[in-house]
Amino acid sequence: MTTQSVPTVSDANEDVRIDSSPEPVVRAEEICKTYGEGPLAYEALAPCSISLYPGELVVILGPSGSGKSTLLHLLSTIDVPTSGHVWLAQRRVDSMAERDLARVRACEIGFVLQRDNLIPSLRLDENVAAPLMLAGVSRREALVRAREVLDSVGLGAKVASFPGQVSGGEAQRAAIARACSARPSLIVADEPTGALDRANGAMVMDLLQQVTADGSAATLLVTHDQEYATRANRTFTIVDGHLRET
Amino acid sequence: MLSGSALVAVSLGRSLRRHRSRAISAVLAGALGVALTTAILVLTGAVTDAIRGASLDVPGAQWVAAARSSSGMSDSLTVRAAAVPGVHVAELIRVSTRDATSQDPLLVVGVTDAIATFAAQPSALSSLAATAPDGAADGMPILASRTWAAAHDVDVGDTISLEAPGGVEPAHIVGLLDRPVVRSDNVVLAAFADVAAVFDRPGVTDGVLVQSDRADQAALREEIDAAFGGAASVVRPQDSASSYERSFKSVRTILSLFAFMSALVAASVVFFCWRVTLDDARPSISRLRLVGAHHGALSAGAAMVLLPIVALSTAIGTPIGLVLGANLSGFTNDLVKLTQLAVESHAPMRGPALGGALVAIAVFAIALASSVRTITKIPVIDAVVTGRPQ
Repeated sequence: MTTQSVPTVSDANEDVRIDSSPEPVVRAEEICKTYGEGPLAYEALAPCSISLYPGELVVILGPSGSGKSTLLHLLSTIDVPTSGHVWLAQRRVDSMAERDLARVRACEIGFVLQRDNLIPSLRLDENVAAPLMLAGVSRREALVRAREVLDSVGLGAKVASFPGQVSGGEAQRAAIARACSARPSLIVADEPTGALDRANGAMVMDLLQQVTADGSAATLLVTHDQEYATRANRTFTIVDGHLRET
Repeated sequence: MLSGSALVAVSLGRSLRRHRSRAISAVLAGALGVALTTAILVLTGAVTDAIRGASLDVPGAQWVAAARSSSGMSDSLTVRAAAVPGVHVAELIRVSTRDATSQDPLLVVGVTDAIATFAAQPSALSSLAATAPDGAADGMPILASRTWAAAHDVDVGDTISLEAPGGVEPAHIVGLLDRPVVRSDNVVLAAFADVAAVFDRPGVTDGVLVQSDRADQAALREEIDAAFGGAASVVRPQDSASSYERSFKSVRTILSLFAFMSALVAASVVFFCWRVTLDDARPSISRLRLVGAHHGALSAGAAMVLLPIVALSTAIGTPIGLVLGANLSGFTNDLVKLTQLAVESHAPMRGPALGGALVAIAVFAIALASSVRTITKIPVIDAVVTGRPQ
């Protein structure tokens, strides 16, 4: 795994780069998320800034309900910040039209969730080919590429299986295969090992670490498991909606 | 992007296939709606076609005074109409009967000599006038519709038999007409006096054709109307069957309502089946959105799933509807008989089939519109929220 020293100081409304590195894959400036209004308003994420660079694995740690997933959603276009701006691959995405946003999700972001990652009515190869096909790649070409990626994660024999026919570990590996099939700029992983046993969890983490090191994508990993922080290039902690680099 | 829509279609299609009963219900409901609509369109089309066949086709006549009573009106009223300044009139009498040989319905129209001056084929009509009514040994001289004559393999010089109150009456064909005064092809023309005598209708007339060069047609109409004193309705010749159409209007309204209800039931069943399928597919849809499916691709995918269902419903429903409509010919004939016209109803095919297909498209367009609405309301965040409170 390659290590890059691209520290970013957050929660102090700063985004300081120490050495000269490539352009950030993701850059968020002063983003915050508040649910509700008036006296019922709940601040899920306090204003913070963060940047992620190609080839780095960034881990966000924090207890349940601390705002980890909220931050992940804001950085990956799943949700929009109450204030602040987000840039992904040099394009501002917090105010993007739905159609453009869908294209960004297909081409620039790979998602790995805790569970229920895959589309149950599609075979594993179709699941992995989905971002490619939705980005406009022909069905045949997308399926060929998807089978290659599935083969690389050890699922070459299960390409025609449906998600309900494979184990949890295999489903997570297929999700990682899908996440990197379109060679995105950013891979977001929300508790990817949360529903797996220790051995499968380690296998999934190895895989995530490998795809991050192999490609030009940055990986943002949200977890409450401290052990995985040791694999990260940078680690952030989030407590009560406040993000701090550790 | 087509491959993206196809992927969405595969996903939704498999969701629908997993619940076969829903797919079958949607197809059957659609087919039922199409079949009933098609059958009703066949029925109404046949009756409308029959009634339209009874309207007058006399290019030279500006107005026709059609007797309000089915038993006709006194022919003395014609004299009053003829007294209106600047008009020429011709009387006609109309009798529904049958060709005694083939038992096919036949309309016998008795016309006065004056009609020769405003009908489409004056020379042929003149030949009728030139033939002395009592001079034809083979029966009453008639001019037959060329189409009818060809269909019944008769020609000028032949004698046919007509059913009349006094028994079977011979009629001698003295000429053929391409435009036999009424739009129906099942027509023979004869002298007014002959028809009145043979069919026992002395002293009455069913209609008076009016020709005039007067510029103010509205005023002319009022004067003619006044001359008949309410015994006749004064209309344009092409509207002469409008009274029959009005009679049929309420029946048509009821039938149309029935077709509408069947389409509505079909739409409700299809809508419900599709909506439940989409609700089940909600996780798949949100995950598709997560990996880059935009609203357009999702909507196109939904349309690609619905399209074969529309096609299948139409393919099943249309032939059933056409057969059903044709088999209801007894009902159609009963409706036509109410007009007391000797017209044949021809069951149309293309129009009702098109109508049925349009109903299928409308039914599934409603389902598609509903699915587009549902799909666009499924947020991407649904794919990642695993039960944690927002």
